[in-house]
Amino acid sequence: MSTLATPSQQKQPKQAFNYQDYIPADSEILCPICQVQCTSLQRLNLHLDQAHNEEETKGDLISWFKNAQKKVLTPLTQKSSSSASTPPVASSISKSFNQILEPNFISNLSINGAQPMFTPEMEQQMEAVRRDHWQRETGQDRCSEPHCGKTLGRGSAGKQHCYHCGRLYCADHTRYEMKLNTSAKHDPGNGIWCRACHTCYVSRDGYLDNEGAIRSRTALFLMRRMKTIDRVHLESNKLEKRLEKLAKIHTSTDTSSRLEKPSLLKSATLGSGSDHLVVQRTTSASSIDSIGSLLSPKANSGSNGNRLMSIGLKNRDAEKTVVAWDDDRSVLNCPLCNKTFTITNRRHHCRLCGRIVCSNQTCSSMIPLFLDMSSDSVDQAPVGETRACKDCKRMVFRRKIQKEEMTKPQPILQLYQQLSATKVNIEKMLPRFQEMVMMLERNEMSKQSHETFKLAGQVRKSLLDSFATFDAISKRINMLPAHSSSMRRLQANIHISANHYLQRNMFPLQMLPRILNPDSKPKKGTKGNGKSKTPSPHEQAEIDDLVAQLAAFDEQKMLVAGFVKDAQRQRKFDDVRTLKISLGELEREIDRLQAELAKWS
Amino acid sequence: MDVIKAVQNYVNKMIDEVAGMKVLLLDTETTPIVSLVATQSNLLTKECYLIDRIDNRDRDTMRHLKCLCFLRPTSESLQWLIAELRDPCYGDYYIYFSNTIRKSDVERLAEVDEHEVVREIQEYYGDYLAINSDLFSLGMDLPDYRLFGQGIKDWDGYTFDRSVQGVIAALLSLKKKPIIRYESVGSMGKRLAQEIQYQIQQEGQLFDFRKTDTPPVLLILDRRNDPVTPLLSQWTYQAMVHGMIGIQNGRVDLSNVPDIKKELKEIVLSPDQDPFFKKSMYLNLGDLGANIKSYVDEYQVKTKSNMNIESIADMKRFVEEYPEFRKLSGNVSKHVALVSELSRRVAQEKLLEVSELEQDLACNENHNNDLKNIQTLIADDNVTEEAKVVLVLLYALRYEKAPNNSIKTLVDLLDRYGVSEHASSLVPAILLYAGHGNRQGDLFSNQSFLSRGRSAFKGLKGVENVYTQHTPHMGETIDLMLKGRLKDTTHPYVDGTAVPPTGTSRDRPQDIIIFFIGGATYEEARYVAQLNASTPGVRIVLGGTTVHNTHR
Repeated sequence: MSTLATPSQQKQPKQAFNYQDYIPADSEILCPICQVQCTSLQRLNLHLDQAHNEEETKGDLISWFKNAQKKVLTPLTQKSSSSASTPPVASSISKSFNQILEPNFISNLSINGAQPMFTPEMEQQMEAVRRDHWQRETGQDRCSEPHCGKTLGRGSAGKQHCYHCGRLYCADHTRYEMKLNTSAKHDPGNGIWCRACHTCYVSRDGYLDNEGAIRSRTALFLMRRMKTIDRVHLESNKLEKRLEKLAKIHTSTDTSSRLEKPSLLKSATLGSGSDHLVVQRTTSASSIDSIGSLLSPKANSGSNGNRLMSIGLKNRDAEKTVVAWDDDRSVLNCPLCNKTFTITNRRHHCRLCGRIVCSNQTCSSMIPLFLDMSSDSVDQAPVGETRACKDCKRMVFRRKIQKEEMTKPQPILQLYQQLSATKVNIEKMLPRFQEMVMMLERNEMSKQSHETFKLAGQVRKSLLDSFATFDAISKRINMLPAHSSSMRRLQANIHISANHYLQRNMFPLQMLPRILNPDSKPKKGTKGNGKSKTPSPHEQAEIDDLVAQLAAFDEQKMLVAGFVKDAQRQRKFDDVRTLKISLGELEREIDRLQAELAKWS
Repeated sequence: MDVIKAVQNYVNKMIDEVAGMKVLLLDTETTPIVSLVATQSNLLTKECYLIDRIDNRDRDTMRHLKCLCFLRPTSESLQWLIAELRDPCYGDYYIYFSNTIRKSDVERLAEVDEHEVVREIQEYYGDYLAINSDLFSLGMDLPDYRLFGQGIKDWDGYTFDRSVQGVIAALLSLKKKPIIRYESVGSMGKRLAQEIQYQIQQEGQLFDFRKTDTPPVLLILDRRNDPVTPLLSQWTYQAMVHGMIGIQNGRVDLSNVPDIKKELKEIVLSPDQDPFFKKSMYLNLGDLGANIKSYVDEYQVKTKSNMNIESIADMKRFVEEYPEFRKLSGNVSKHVALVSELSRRVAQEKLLEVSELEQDLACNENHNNDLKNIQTLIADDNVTEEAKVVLVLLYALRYEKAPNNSIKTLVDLLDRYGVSEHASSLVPAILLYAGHGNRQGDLFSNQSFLSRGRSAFKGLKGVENVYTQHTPHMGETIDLMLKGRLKDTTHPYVDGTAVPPTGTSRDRPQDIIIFFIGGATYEEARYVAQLNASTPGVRIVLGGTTVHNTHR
């Protein structure tokens, strides 16, 4: 308020007191509500009484009064300061005046004083919020809130505009406040508090938003992983090269030993030698199907120890050329499992990295050797085996295993793809069919042409077919041989969810025969009258109808039988009884239909 | 402002984002989080066919499956995840953390992902148990988690971290950047408030939400200020079930109930999936009885219509409605069993009498009368040991400062009637925890002359229901806050929230999140729910380190 006082102080420099100072200049008197110019305060007062005697304008009125008072008071304080010519005193006087004008003082006058939010300052600002979009009052207005419908302005209903949408509401339904800017748009930053209706209140941006914040760390992760992958690629390339070298060494010694063998050994040992070879062939042949199984512990369990020993010793020096071996004495514990090496717990060198590990299955194991690691073909036979630590083993076969898994077909995957395709198909057809049914129901029997009927029947049939395939596939998935318990669980769960899906979506299908049935009777009548001479197509239709009905009943029978089983399992014997009754009904109906069909044919 | 929907939204988003056959891997803490908001069949329809725990290392390799991991970023979970990525069972990994994860941890994961199986790493802030749409808990119950560290005014380190994380996650999932106020008594609230404020500032970008008309308020309360509410027996459905039987992650264990049917040994109570429960969870036992009766009637009408199947049309209708009907029948028998068990316990343990006395102790000052009543009830064999101790506790809290109190005699009396040492030692413990010296605010309205007058006036007005006359202390605090009259001295702002108090204190807050150190109660949850329903434009969410019943 003191800021307001200063400009007028400058405008009217030290003048003697006169009456003019009490009244602001004519041009400044505007009605605070409708901006109509008034010539004097008295006229404005009159105008306010006549034009704005609504309850809701009282707040504005008060704020206007405040304005007017301010203007009236300013010259007075200024005058007193000029007469006393002691600024501190003047300011203290103006303070005391201002105290009178404190919000409390005004709000005590205010009718809206019960609502703490509507302090005069806001009222003053509210003039700025546009109102030209407000709904016109007619005197017979009803609250715009759905289900309310109170006549406004009567009894305790009250009458309020929502400042945002401008519609009229009763007092109960505008008990919300939101911040609006001058063009009555929501503006949480600079807006001012305004009355609003529930609809506008909740439709503020983000108010009913249930989506929580999320943050993706994928980019950071991928960036870091690139480094890892580069390192890993480099490493596995190196190891693969070493493995190929080792394989070459093995094949050369293998062939040389085979050449030497007949000359060095007698026929008995030759027999056993070839026997060994056969054994090796069979084991390798049986384990070709996957590297995974080659790598698993049991693959090398049957390896022939003494032969390996002899070849191993021969290979040993050659193998050392691939990678430098660690010195035996430098290592006392296995670096992987931390066990101390003893006479029983022997040191072993990893042929790929040269470090010393123990023979424990988790630390090191025998790995198969391939001549060509980079080839895509998986089904090449290993040429021998050698020892490697677990880290190298993982690295060196990384690429091969990945490739193998890519190429290996999974029956469940294929079936599941079929299942999904069928589902997509069904979902495409189902809304179309439902639309048709709705249309048929709406048009009643009068306008039903035979074509739409037929069409609906066709769609229904193809839908039923799709459902049947869907069911069949899900059953096949369930029947697949499962090699592990979780595989079993997976298949069972797919089957269960497929069943749920069928139960949910098959019911609409049964709506059609229900519409067909009552319709078909009158149709039969008219048809029978009109086309009595050509009974054969009519009979054909009848038979088709019967067949369709029979199919529908069969379906239902299946469903109900399923329910019976369920209920029995859950020991709900009441339900079982009810269900059994209905099952009997169904069977009777099916019998009847079959008999009728037999009659026709 | 609906915590159930917020967590549900996260879970659905996770599942929808990945197409094809999936397996969902959870850890010990995310399992209850997910199970509270999603059902198995719900997951099945979205092609999520297997659900497993990440700490189960005996899973079979199935490379054709995609894997969703929803984990809390605890060190154990990260260890398991690293082991999993070293030797992956599945083809692709989509990893979702329930809270913020450190950069160094992301790097660690990147180090071990040699097989290039990870496709996504996201933070989805569903890091709390969403019990009702306006109630969440962090599930930190007593035996596993201790609230206090050294001394009674200090946090336990782990619990503190978990509380901070939980509240941060709740704020993020609701997209709120609040101004924080706390109850000035004790140092625990202040520490929590400051830490949360620090975290918000640290994660500035994350908390950059749309501006709202008024900044939301996070109000941190301390259980020690209102020890009475969790002690009282409750008479509304959800609170009663929790008080007498206990709700654990939405499940109720009825195996101790005499001759209960096998399929009702453990039942699920979820306001999200059970419309009847949603409708009646805040009803008191009397109204609940009427409600359940009409529910049973409805069921019987349906059964009858199912029984007389005369035409084929009936038949068809029956087949179509049967699955719905079966669901209804399961639900009816569940609620009937539960309510009959509740009323059996009420009758057997004289709960009506006990509760009346409890309410008297909590609301009215009448020393001699109360003392006499307590003594008779302690002598009664039907009243459970627990109830007796609760009565003495309430007495001790109310008359702690009264010159002629006889806490000592009552404890002796408890001992004489065979109440265990451990139970009776709770009396001095509660006075230490929440005695007069540690409280702020006028809990029993007997401190000043004015409030005495007010409570006397309240007594004159009469109460409509003797068993529900107590309103939680929190109610008064919220009322003051909504009127903008909550004092800065009792509930100060955190330093550095940097709001000009003139601008905001007058604004009525529209969104309030309350967090109870030491756990909320279902009575308070009911109060909040009623307030949400009756006050236009105000939304309140209540949270706590746990949810109490009288067992504590």
